Amino acid sequence: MARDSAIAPGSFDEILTWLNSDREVAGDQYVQLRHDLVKIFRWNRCGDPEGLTDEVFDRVLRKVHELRQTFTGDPRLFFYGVARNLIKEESKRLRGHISLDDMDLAANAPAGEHNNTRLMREECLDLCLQKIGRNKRELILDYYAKEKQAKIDHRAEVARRLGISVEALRVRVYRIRSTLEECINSCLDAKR
Amino acid sequence: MEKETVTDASLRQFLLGRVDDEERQRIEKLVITNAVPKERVGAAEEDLLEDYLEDALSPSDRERFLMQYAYTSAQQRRLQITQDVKHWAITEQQRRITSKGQASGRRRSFAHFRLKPMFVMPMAAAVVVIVVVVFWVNRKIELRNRQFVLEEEIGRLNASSGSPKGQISSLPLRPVTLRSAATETELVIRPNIQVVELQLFCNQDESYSTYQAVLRRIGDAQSFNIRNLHPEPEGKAIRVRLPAQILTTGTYHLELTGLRADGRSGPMEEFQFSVRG
Repeated sequence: MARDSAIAPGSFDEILTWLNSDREVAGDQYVQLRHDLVKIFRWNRCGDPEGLTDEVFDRVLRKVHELRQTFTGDPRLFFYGVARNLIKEESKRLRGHISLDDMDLAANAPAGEHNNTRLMREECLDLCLQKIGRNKRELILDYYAKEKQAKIDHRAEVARRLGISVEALRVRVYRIRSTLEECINSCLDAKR
Repeated sequence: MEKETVTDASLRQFLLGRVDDEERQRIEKLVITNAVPKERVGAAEEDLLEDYLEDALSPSDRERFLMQYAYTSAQQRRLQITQDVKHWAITEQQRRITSKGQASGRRRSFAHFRLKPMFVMPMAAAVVVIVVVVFWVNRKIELRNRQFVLEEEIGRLNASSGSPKGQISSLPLRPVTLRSAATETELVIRPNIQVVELQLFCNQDESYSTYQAVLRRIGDAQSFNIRNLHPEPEGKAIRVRLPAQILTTGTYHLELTGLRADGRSGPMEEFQFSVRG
């Protein structure tokens, strides 16, 4: 999605100030907001979630000066409102164009490319498993060691061993998984 | 209050796109404003990916899932990474269990001996016995082979009608009787003697086409079987040729038996002589 060039200089600073008067907190909120909007676009099956997120910020940037005077409440909800509008626009464009046949994972890429990608993924996985450190690697190994019904009892046992709830274990593993996934994605992007 | 209404089950429905717009926007707003910990949504998403990969979703959930999570290449990559991580974990776990089993098997074996010193002495004794038995069997085989070779040589010497090569020492012998027991014939084998020829004069009137003999040094367990012996042309004596090397100092006993044409054996006659080096 093309970026709007008619954005007044200093608008980005205004966005940060609007999000939070503390510049450091505002920076964190901005990063987190971008991340959340990308997710929301994904949940709503929008193509190019990153591009749409840029569009949200572009639209807000154009009005931020005025908004700071008029909008009351959590500014992040205004960003969300803009995102909802974009989702409506996207859903009109995409509705009725998704075929399950097109989503067959195995069929989406030619065999050679699929094999290359698989090898690259394996290399990146090995590399990133080393990067996350032994303790985290062992937890991932333990958490995913069993499947289906057996994994429920196994994960309860792992949580008991660590002295935490299963819920806390899920979140702990999710954090490691996110780091791992981020590392693998960067590695794969670097290889392409 | 709103935070409490968002359960894992409702999050799953939300992620599968099974909630109406109002509920969807409510959850999305909670996520944006951090009212629902994002990690909880992320963990619910991970569970969903796992269930899909384990084929644990119902057909309708699977269809919904594909609509939500297999749509973009980024989503497909995420699915593949999840699958890779699961595959790695299961394979690695199995590999560790296998190698652990092998290692503990080895440790158990060593521990078994280490923890029971009472078995050390019997084991050592058993090893000694095994070594002795192996040595004894080898020695036995060696002796048997040597005897076989010597009997072959004896057979060749006695099969030949002509004179054998090398120096021969002849010794006429008469059967042992009560009267002759006191007078034992003595054979002195000089170093140059290679073959000893015994001339056995039998007391029996009956003659046989072939004879067989058994030679044994008194006090030894080893004996030599000598077959296909023939009487001399004059029919007076039975000639037995022996390699000089098999005769060492001592007293020798020889049993001679005649064989009839029908295979039956005649009476046995005994001879005795002593050897001096």
